[in-house]
Amino acid sequence: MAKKEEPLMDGPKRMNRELALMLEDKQNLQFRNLLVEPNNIYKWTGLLMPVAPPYDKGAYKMEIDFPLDYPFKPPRIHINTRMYHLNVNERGQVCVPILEVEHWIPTTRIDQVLQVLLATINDPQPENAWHIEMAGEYRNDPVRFFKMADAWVQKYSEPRPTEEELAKFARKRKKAMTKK
Amino acid sequence: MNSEMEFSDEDHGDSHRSLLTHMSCENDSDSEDTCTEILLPENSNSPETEDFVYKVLSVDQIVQHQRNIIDEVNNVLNLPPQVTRIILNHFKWDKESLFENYFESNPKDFFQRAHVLNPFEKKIERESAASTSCAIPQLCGICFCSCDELIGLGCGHNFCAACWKQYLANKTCSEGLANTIKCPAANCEILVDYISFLKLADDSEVVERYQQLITNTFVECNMLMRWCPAPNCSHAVKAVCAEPRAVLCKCGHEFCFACGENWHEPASCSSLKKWVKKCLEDSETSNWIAQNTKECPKCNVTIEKDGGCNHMVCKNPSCRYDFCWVCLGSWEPHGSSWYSCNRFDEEEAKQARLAQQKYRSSMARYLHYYNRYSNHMQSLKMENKLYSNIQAKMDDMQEEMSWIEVQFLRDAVDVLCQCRTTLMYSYVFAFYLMNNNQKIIFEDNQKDMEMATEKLSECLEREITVKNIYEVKQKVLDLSHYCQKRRHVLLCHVREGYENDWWEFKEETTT
Repeated sequence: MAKKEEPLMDGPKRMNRELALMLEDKQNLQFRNLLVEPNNIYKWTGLLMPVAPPYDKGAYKMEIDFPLDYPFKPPRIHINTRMYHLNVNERGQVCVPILEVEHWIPTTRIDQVLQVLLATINDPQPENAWHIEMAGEYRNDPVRFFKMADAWVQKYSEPRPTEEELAKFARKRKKAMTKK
Repeated sequence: MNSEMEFSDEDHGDSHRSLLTHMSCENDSDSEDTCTEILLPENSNSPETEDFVYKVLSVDQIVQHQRNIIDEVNNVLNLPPQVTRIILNHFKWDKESLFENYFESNPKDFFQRAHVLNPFEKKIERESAASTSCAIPQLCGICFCSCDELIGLGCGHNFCAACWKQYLANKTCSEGLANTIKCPAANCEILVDYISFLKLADDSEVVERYQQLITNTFVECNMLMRWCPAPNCSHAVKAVCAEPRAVLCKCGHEFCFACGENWHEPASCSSLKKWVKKCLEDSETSNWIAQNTKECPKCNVTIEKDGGCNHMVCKNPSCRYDFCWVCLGSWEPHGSSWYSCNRFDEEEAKQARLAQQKYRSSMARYLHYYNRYSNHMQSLKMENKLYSNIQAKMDDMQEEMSWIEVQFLRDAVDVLCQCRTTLMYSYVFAFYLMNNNQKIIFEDNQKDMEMATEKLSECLEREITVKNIYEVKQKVLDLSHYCQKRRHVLLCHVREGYENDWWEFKEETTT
């Protein structure tokens, strides 16, 4: 059906509304540097800053890819910075049930998804693990697990930006958006 | 007006009997068969004619049948039809189960478990929803736009018309859901009912797809219905009970109602399932062994079988040995009462056990049955090709004789294919059968039927020309008639054995 191939009218409208709400939101301190790719409303990027050790020592680049028929299909989320985490796989996919097609409902908002995602990172869920061995380690040998996780943070994660850097990014973004 | 067409096995019985009335009762004068002639009583309890009531339904008839069930239930419960439909889906269209639960449960639990609003409480919610909509215009929870009118299912969650349309199109066309589409709101389990769907989908293609999915689900979760498994057939069969019985679809395909496989009497559904699985697992070994044993037993020239008949003549000019393709023994005993190709010799097996591992004995036993099963399957394929050959002959003969005079050829091929099928599955049945006196009788019947089938096959493949048609006709009719009797005897004995618990089946041992 040719009709299906065309982008749906409401998707971008809703995404823009969600974007506006999230940019106004000053409370979410664990998701920063939200940016929409130029000329592509369907791709957002941002920075995850979890609060639970050892992940609280680093920052993690992530991207959100929206399908053409969003919000009737779920977005895809990738964490592009490597993490030693039982719910994050090698390709940066996060095992979060609400993002699966069977469980997705169109009334779920991105900020709600991010809340669940950050909650999962801060509090690993062995029952939804990508890695069975890592989940076992997390349960039976937590000292070793956290040692490995800490080592990966040291090795792979982005440095945590300062409040000044975050504020500077926000001003720059606002300026860029004003130009459009 | 009920436009459903009813078929029963009695129809097949009629055609069976009408075919018999044209058969000669004389013995084949060339036959060396010393068995006593078995006459079929007119009122015999033939497996083919035992009553199994079923109907073959088109898609429209399935939809109508579904509506009839809804109406029946509503005569008792007096609910809105779209609510009844959801509840029937929940109980897998089992009316008895539905009524049982309805009268035993309290209404709140009953409707909640079916994920439908309690229709007796609906008015109150509808009023409260109406009062809410008179207030400030609300945001649609999906597109976040302000709308004058939001629509819902009555559960209190409302969305704009455009979002409903896209939501339902996505669920139906993209995800393939119909009966299990829920309200889009978080944590709401209320299902979209039929009437709401038609109203909110607002797209004829989506509605058409929805109806297809509903019909498909109806047949698949209904214990008394089954789709015809033939490719490109859209009919379904409705039966009065879910039993392993042969059903014949309008497209010509005959299958088992219980398991959906080709009709497999005398083997049971479970035996066939185990057999198919075993054949898949052992196919490489079997194929290797089978391929390395098919050479002339006399001069070792490689032999390729080009027809369904098991009587082989070595093409080597200096040999010309007559032998049986299956057991590689001389063909001469196959025409006599000493024929024992189908019987597995337990004494030989004991000898083998002394010299070989138990596995080899087990493999030998399996291969005995597999080779014959596979051979009849292959013969069946060859004999299906025989249809076109026979058809060509019939066309040739049209010039010299009337159509009705050569119809017997097609009838004979039908009988031949039917017997091949039964023989094929008889080896599945025998493989899982423990030895007792009844098995010996079964194998005698199997032997007689196999012998008769080979004669008919040989006659149809080799002897028919335009010149000798009148001479061969009587022979073909006699052989066809005899094959049918042999098949009838075998199947009656098996059926009687099931009724009297004669059959003892081996438990599968892991090798």
